[in-house]
This record gives sequence, structure tokens and C-alpha cells, in this order.
Amino acid sequence: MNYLSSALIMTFGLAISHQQTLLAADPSAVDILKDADRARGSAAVEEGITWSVKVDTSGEDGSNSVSYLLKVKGSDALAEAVAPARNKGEMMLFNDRNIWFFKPGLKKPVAISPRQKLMGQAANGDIASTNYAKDYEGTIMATETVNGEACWKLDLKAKAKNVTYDKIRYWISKKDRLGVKAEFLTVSGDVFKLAAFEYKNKLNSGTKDYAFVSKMTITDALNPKNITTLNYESPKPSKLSDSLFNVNNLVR
Amino acid sequence: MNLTLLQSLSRMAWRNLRRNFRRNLATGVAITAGFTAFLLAAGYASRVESVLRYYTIYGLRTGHVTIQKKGSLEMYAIKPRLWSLDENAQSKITTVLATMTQIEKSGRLLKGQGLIGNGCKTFPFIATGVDLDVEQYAMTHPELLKWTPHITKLNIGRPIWEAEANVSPVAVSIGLAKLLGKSKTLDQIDRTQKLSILDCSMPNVRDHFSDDANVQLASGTWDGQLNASDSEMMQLYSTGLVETNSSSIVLSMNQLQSLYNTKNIASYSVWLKDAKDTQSTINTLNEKLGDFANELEILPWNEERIGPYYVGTMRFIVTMVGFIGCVLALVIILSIFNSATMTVIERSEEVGMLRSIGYTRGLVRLVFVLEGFFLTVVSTVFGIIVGLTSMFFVNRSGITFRPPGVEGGLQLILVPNFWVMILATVCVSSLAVFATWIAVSGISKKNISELVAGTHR
Repeated sequence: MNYLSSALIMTFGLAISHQQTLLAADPSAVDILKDADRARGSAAVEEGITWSVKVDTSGEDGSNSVSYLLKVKGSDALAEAVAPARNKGEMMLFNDRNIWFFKPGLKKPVAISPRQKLMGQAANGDIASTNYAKDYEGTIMATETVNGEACWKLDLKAKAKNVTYDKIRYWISKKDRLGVKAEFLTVSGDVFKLAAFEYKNKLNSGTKDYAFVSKMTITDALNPKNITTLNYESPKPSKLSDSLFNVNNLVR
Repeated sequence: MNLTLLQSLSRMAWRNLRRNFRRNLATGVAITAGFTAFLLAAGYASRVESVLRYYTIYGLRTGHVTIQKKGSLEMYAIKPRLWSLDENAQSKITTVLATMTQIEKSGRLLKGQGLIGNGCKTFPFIATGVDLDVEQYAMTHPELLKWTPHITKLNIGRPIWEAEANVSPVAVSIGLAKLLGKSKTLDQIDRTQKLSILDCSMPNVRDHFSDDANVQLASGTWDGQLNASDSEMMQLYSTGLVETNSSSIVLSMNQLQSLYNTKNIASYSVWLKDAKDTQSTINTLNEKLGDFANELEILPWNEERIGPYYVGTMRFIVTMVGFIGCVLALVIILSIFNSATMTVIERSEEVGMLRSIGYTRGLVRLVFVLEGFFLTVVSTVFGIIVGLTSMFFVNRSGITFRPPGVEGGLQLILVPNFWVMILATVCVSSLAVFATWIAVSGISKKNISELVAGTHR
């Protein structure tokens, strides 16, 4: 009995001390997310950033490709389709969590949901910068190794209904604080999309070079043949006017 | 048996009816009441059947016959591109339809989903795309107008086929228009005013949604890209069903095809000059389309997957009326049997006397059976009179009720069905004859002396 009590006390003590070590060693989930968000276009440069992204989709329903020019300032973003010709002029304006879609010929922009599919597996909310630190309640769940890299595994729960996903499992590398992979979950907790990230781009903020996302590969969890790839290019700081992000200016 | 004897027995049976007037009156009233109830229930069923029939054929634009790709009824909603009819298929079908003289009208249908917006907010829609001449044919068909005034009377604005060439018209279901906060159609607004982009953060922004009739439709194209188009709300209409009244829109085939970036369609609807030709038309289509017919499903409008609301509702109503019919049959059998049994017991001496003066067992039975038959016929005639009178007053009273799932309520109208009346009268009379025969058969076998002396009791 004495041995059993001692063992229990020791185990309990070890668990507490391990938890204390974790808390002491790990930064907060918000801090980790803020760093990871910066590499995905969020608030790295106050005046604004621009980059281009090519969305390629392939799967059972054929393949497609559209290129966008992204202009991001704070929590606002404007994505303008530049190719192919039939999509040219289509625009998506992100005013925080509100999104408007506009294409030449429309009399008014259409308010759309970030959850609506833009193309293939990519939702509207995937194309712009991410701000998981603001939109989701994050919790560090564990430490896991992904592709040989030690990562924090975070569980993210949406703070509002009008964000892109209800729940996300997000692996962020401890070394670079960059999102390595993600699983997007339904309200009931089923994984419906998987994403993997690469960071071969650099963004110079004026004072420092930051790693910037170069590729996001989204795979349909139910049908792995359906893949959408977002290839990011030429991220650079740019002085962007606030009026660019005014919905009234979409209809020119 | 000669006619004179039958006439004589009939007169006797008729006179006998008056001898037990109160009992026969009570029996007759029971039959009349039951028969009236059955006619009213059948009148209700007849009315609902007609409403649902024409609502399905014309209101839902199903036609008498629909043609779609095999398997599309289950798969079209999931993968429309793979389960729709492409231009080649459309060409083959159109060519065959053009050769068939029994067809009054045929048209293409496209269905799909998306989001409809008021400039600030979007809501899901289920769209029907239809060629405007087909829409005009279906929506102005006399049978639809006759049977569904409770639906068509709710329409506001002009139909989409009357739109000017420079307008992209859309008809929006009333519930959806309410969600959008848009209550005015294109004709009800000042069209000279320039469209304004609303500041959606304004507290009173909802008050301005009806400043124009413009709505935006957004959807994924069938090749997987986001697309959007503008439309003007020409008409607000009721779908007639709560389930669809907050999500349905109707627009031209070209507009919807453009939104989905496709030339494909979901199905063909075929309206016939005579609905009786439905099955023969299906057979002819299968024959004329040859091997291509194997890739298609050609179905009648009352197939469960095509008209689930019609089939489901009618199954319930037929069961209900059938149950009432069974109860009525039981009431009639028991009433007649009871009445005949008591009459026979009371009149056993008379039966004995008739037997002793030469009436055969069969003739004695016939007298009683004729009594039961006359009683039933008179009662059912009264039942028909009372039933028709009740229907007349019910129809005149304008009673509105709300069947489950029906938007806006339905006026209670009972439709007399001539064939149901004839059939019910024959059934009820046969049952009465049968019940009387059973009741009388026992007494007619008794010994004459026993009957005359009354010792059999």
C-alpha cells in the first residue's frame, strides 16, 4: 500500500513539474500564431504588402488555374484576378471578416462567405492573408515531429461564425515558428481538408527579412485526388491607400 | 322469374319498408350520414389530387414526362456536370421530340444552387432555369390557374417572360425576398435612380434594401470557379410550400447557364395534349431514341422520384379515404344486418304464412333483400343530395385551412367526383343485399309450422 501511495504521489508530482516545465518553456498560443500568421501575409509591414498567387486545381472534375494579385493592409485585402483572360478583372475584397466579390458587368459587389469555395479545394478565405491569432482561440495540445521538425500542435477554435473554418489543427515548427501543416475540421470534428505549407519566399519589412509562404497544398480529405495548390510569388512591401479597400470603389 | 312477379315482390317490399318506419328511418339515416361523410372525404381527396397533379405537372414544370440522364435523380445535385445532358444529348432529344404530334410543349430545365445577395448579405437559393416561352406556357396553363389560385394569387409584379430585353429578370420566392429585405419588384421602384452601394454598417441599412430591385447571384461554376451575376427582381411568387418558399428563384435558362458556365441542362419536360398518352409517349420516346434511350431515364410525372410530394400526399389521403370507406362499409353491414334480423324475427309468422300460400324460400328471401336494397338506395340518394348540398355550402363559405407544409393556407374546396359516387352507391347497395341475405337465410330455412306458430323463437 505504501509503495502504491508513493508511486502515485511521484507520478502526480512529475506530471505537475512537467506541466510547469511546458508552461515555462512554451510561449503562448497567441504569440506562436502571430508569428505563423506573419509568414502568411498578416501585418508584417504596416503600409501594406503585395504578392501574387497562382491557384492550380486538379482532380476528378478536371483542372483549372487562375492567378491573383494580392494587396494586403492590416486586416483588409484585395485579390484581383489577372489571368486567364476570362477571369481578368474579378476581385475579392476582404474587409476584416466581410468579403465582397466583384466582376466586370456586375452592378453591385456580392457579399460572400469566407467558407464558400473559390476554386477547387480553396475557400475564399484561403487566398488572402491569414489572421489565425485574431480569428481563432488557440490551445497548444502537444509537441509532435512533422517531416523531422519539432512542432507545436495547436487546436484552433473559431471565435466567430464568419471565419473560414470552424476548427483547425495546426502544426507550427518550434524552430521557425512557421505553420507546417494543417487539418481543417467540420463542426463535428471530422477532417475534411488537409494543407501543407512551404516557405521559400522572403519578405523584407525594411528592417528584417521574414520567411514568407511560397506554396500551400490543399488536399480533399475524402478524395485525395482533388488537390489545389496555391503558389505564392513576389511578396513585397508596398504603400497601399486605404481607399483601395473601400467596397464602393470596386464598382468603377 | 317473370317481370310481373318481380314487380309484385318489389311493391310488397316497398310497402313493408313503411311498416317499421322508425327502425328503417334510423337505419337509413345511419347509411345517409356515413355515405355523406364518405362523399365529403372523397371530395376533399379529389380536390387535393387535382391541385397536386397540376401543381406538379405545370407549377413545378415537371411536364407529363421528364427525360434526364440515367442516375441523375440521385447524383445531379452532387455532381451536376457529370449527370446533366450535354449539347449533343440535347440535340438528339430535341430532334425526336419535334417528330411527336402528341406533344403540346416541351422545354429544358436547369437546376442549381448558390447565394443570392442584397448588397450586404447573401442567402442560399435553389434556382430553376427555364426557357421563357416554356415558363409562360406552364405558368399560364388553364389547369394550373384553375386549381392553384391559392398560390398564383400571391404573386406580385410581372412575370419574367414579360421583361424588357435589357433586363435580366429573376422571380424570387416571397420568403426569400423577405430574408433579403427586398419587398419591391422592378416595376415598383423608380428606375431612373442610380443604383447605390450601401454602407452595410449603417444601423438602418435594412430600410434601404428595397431602394432597388437588384439582386446578385453568386455560385461556383460547374468547372469549379466562383462566379456571380446581376438580376432584377421582376416578380415575387409563392412556391406554395413552406419548405421551398424561402429559397427558390426562377430565372431564364441563359442566365442560369451563364452563372454555372455551362451549356448543359438537367432535364427535359414534356407536356402532352392528352395526359392519357403519358405511357404511350414514354414507349415511343424509348423506341425513337434507340440505344441512346439506355443512357436516359424517361419517367412519368407521377413516379415517386419525380413527384414525391404528389405521391406521398396522395398515398396518405387514399389511405385515409379508404379507411373511412371501410368504416362506412362496416356501419352499413351492421345496420342492415341488425335491422333485417329484427324485422325477420318480428315477421316470422308472416314468413310462415307466405310459405304456406306457396312462396318459395327464395321468394321470401327476395322480398327481404329487396327491402334492404330499397332502403339502401333511398339512403344513398339522400346521402348524395346531402353530400352535394354540403359541398356547395362548404365551397361557398371560403373556409381556409393550413395543411402541413402548405404556404399561406388552402381554401377548403370539395370536388364531387361522379365516378366515385356511382362506384360507392353500387358497393353500398351490394353490401346491403349481402347483409340482408345473410340475415334472412336462417329464417327462410325454418319449418312452416314452426314459423306460423312462432315456436322457433
